[in-house]
Amino acid sequence: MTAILLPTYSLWIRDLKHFIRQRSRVIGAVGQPFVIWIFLSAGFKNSVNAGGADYGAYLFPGIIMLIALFAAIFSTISVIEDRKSGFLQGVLTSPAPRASIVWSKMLAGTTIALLQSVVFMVLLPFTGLSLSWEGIGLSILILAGTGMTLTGLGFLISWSMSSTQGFHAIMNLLLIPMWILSGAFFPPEGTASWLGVIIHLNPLYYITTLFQKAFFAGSGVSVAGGPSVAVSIAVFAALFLLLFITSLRLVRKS
Amino acid sequence: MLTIDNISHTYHRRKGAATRALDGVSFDAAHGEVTAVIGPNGSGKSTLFRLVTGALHLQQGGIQLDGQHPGSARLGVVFQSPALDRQLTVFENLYHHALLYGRRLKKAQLPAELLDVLELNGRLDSKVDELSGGFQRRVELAKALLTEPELLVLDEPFTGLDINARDAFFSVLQHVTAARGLTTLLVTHELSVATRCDRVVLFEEGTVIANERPGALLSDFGRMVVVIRGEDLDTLAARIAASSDIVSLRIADDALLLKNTTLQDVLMIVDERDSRIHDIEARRPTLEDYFIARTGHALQDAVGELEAA
Repeated sequence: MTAILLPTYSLWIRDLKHFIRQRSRVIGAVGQPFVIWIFLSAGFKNSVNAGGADYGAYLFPGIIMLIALFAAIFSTISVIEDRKSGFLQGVLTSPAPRASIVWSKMLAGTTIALLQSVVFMVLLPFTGLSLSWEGIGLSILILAGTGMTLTGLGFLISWSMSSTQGFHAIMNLLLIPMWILSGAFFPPEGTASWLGVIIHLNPLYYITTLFQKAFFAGSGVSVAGGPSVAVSIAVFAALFLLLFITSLRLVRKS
Repeated sequence: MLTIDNISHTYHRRKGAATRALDGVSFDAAHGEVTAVIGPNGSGKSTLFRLVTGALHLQQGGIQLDGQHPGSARLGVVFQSPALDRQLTVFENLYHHALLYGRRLKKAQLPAELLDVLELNGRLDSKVDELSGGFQRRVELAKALLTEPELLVLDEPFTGLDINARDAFFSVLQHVTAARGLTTLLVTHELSVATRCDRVVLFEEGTVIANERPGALLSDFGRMVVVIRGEDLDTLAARIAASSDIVSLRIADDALLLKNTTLQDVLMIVDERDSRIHDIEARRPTLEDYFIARTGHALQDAVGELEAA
């Protein structure tokens, strides 16, 4: 067990040190979602039907999901940087199990995503929402799962790429539509039928719905419709396993 | 002892093309010695490095260290491009590296002798990015030695170092190899360094064409050689052969090397005022001379051509 724990710890802590020591990254990570939330909630306040809830409050968990999504996925840029800087070759020739590379990146991405999300939650009092502790706890648990899953997606793509610019381009192409069509930005009910099909094919829709249900539990805001909790959990778990196992195979093969 | 036993390796490219990088390579490297692996680019050195470090799977033959497979735990590696985290301090690099080998490390546990030899005492809290290229190489070596490997493999570790830093690094390498009884395999195209190694394994087109102590490789050239640069050197070589027992060798289109002789002896046969002669120089023989004698072409030319491409 130690054979995988210590290398995983080593690579995980190293990624966190990088994050904390890059002041601009920390400021951007906290500041950007705040600005997006303020402007979007002000701009779309009267345009979007958020099921009777205040749009700023409806959007709040969606912004948290956005934070987790971007933080988790973009943390895996470190895979490309590690390869380019030569650091990865030292890890690959060490006795560290290959699985420790996957675990450490997933844990680092999740930790960064959770840190940023929790910091953003400080703004909760400004939404007028009163959440239950149970809801907050469940939300953090789902965010952790989201971090692990999406870091897996980022890892899978970054492992095969050599350019950070290329990674940015591909991930933005993938992530922004995924987030917009996740139900975080607007409820899927009432959208065009073709858009509804795409939304239902988007795995992030199931994760976001699950998160919204946990987040709003006991707050008075109801998340009507959408997939059941059981279906959401099943999609979530299947996606995590698929990404984790594929990442593991990829790393072991190289 | 590291035993490389009849290894061959073929790269299979897309569209069915195959390149044989190594073809039946065998040699031994002893404990306490630095064994240089030299040869032009494309001669199979890097493939050998990747096979020994486990970055490539063995297709044929065997690699053993004292009769056993040299697993990664017994191996220290220094790569051509640094494997350091430049944003971390020297100690943090060592700390994280030790964790990969399943060891928790405190500053007080760092081997004092190693830090002394590498002159890293007092630099442990410096960010790697702030160190010179020479010291970054030393950190790299410290990392490789920290886990007390039995086999140390280095791939072109002098890349980017000036002559002084290169010599200092090599001296440290020789010292730790002898002091720790390491088996050190140094892949390089720095012939001046290879000459100072305990043994030289010379690669050409995926095969070993020589495996000797540097002195033995150069014994045929004598203590000194004379190099004449100019034109119409075939005529000159014929005249030298007719009037003396000096053996000559063309080492370039415009250069003729005369083995085992002195400038004084040569000037008794050759008129230095001859307009076809541009320059006459007496020097010690080099591994480059040996390589040309064996293969008919220059090792450094091959390196230069490939680097330019």
